[in-house]
Amino acid sequence: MSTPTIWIFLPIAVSILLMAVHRLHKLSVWIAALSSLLFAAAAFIFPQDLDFSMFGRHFHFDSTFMILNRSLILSASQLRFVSLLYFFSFLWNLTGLQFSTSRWFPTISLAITALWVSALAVEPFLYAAAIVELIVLISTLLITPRGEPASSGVLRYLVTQTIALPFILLSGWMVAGIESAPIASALVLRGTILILIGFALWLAVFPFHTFLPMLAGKSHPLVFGFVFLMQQSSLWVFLLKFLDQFAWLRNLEGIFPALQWIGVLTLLAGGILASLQSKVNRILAYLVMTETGCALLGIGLIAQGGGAFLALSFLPRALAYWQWSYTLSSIQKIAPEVDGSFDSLRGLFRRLPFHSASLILSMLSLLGLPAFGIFPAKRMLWNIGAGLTLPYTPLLSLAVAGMSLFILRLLRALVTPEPNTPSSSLLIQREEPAWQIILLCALTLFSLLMGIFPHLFLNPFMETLGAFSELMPPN
Amino acid sequence: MSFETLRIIAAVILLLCAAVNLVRRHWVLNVAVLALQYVCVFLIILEVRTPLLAAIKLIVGLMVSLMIYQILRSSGLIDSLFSRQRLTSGEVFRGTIALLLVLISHLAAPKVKLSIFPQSSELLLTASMGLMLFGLFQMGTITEPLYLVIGMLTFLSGFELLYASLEFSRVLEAFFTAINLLLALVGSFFIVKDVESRAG
Repeated sequence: MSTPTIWIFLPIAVSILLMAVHRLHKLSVWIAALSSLLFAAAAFIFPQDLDFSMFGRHFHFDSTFMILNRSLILSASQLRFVSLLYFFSFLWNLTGLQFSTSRWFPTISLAITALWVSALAVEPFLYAAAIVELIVLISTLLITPRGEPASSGVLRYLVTQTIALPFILLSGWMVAGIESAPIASALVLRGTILILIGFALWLAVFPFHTFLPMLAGKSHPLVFGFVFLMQQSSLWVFLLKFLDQFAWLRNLEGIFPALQWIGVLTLLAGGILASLQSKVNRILAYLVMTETGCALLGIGLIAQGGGAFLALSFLPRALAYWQWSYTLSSIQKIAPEVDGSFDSLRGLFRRLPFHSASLILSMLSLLGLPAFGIFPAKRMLWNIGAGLTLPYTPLLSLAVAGMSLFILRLLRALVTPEPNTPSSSLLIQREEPAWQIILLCALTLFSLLMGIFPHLFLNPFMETLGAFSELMPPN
Repeated sequence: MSFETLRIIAAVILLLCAAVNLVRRHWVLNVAVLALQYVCVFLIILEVRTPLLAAIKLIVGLMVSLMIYQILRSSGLIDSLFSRQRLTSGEVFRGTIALLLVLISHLAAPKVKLSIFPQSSELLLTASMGLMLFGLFQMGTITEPLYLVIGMLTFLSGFELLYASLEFSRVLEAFFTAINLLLALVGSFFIVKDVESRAG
């Protein structure tokens, strides 16, 4: 038995099984959620030497699985990240029971998770580009809204991600065996440009982000949140793999400052564009953009401790996305007349106070407000970034100010009733089920606990990026 | 007729097929031309692949074309191949662009061979760059699902042709096969949704 069998082939087998029972929605959701939890827990507690004894028997797991002369390698150091991916799948599947996303969501979400794991495990790792394309194609089936034609956002997403494939594959071929070539030779520069363009398209960095708000405006918030959380988290790790494995790339002068600038500009664009938004559905797209910007800045600052930012932020970011997507989906279920525009949200605080508060708090959490889960990571990033180069400080401040402005506008819309509302309806009306109130409060409380006690909740994830020993040498 | 001559004819027909798909908006013609495009890719790729391996691309391409044809037929969207349509100004514009793209790929191939891909033949580079350019142009200018998918398939065919001359990997061939089939499936899904929304 090998680790790729457990975390790639077994989930794909479960996913195929789920295809047979996809009409039994509750059953398939439960199977997908529980199996994801099982895979996550197994990856989290799996011993580092891939050896363990149970019931008096000794088991050894191989980290390599050979297929058509190529290999899938899933080492113990990668399992922490694998456990996170399956945990995200568990979280999103758990909510699938409540909302009518798609009957195929459990099947496809599990397959997507397994494919992301395989993308991180395949050797030569450049072949992951083809797996990413497969994931994108499968994802389009999910993000296309039900009962509507494929929107231009979906089509643009498909095109953008497909164009990235040749860039990544050609970069690998172009620089094969380049280790001995002098740094900054024409070939190295060409390979670097191909890699950067490929990742820019994949990660939807500014100015290749245009499909993101279009998609977020049309897709179900939960589906959009899941697809892009998985995509961005895995692609950041994949970018780290490039930097770790290609010595010529990480030793190229200017590569890390270039990543920092791309990150800062994406963050800035996300913040400013968010401040101008008046559709709450589309804001998750800008959150995805700003988080990508932060991550690229973190990768650019890897030598100064940016890796710790990435490792510490995976879980709180996912929880904040989940809280935002869940709350928005729930609002649209309870109040179908809310179409996402600020006008339709007016006075919602009086009808759905906990949901309204949850929307604001999840955004504040992503912004990095002190005491929330992502604060320790964001504080680290702001400190490193602002301390390193002077021009970053005003740009980062502008990005944060843009996002804050949107939060203030949203808050105003939520608490301000329509001008002609009768005074009797200004009283708080209870339309939220008690269990949902408890869930939203628990989520916020958990985020606060993560922020207040990071050493308890986040330190176990510091090892998430332990596989990149060249890029982040162990102390 | 020598094999080299056959390959040159195949490359010319290949670029012509891509041009027809870019210029004309006649669904059954587009699907038929797409299938013919894959036959030409098969003939050109024989330069760097054994007939058995090259046949995989041909079979996959024909399956993809058949899938799209079936979905168009079941959706009642197929017009007669011989129905006459007058040329529109858009088609004249796209025709001019098609000529330009053929010219660019023909003129650029020797330089690209010299500076980037010395192991690939000029003919293969002309064909692959032409397909990629046609695909890119189609993807960038059209939002109708069928044409977009045809554009993506054309782009990928061009890239597969180019990559075949650089490296051989069974895993990658399997991935490309899966991508093409999945793309046809996604395209069919989009076409059905489009038809449903028009009917509804």
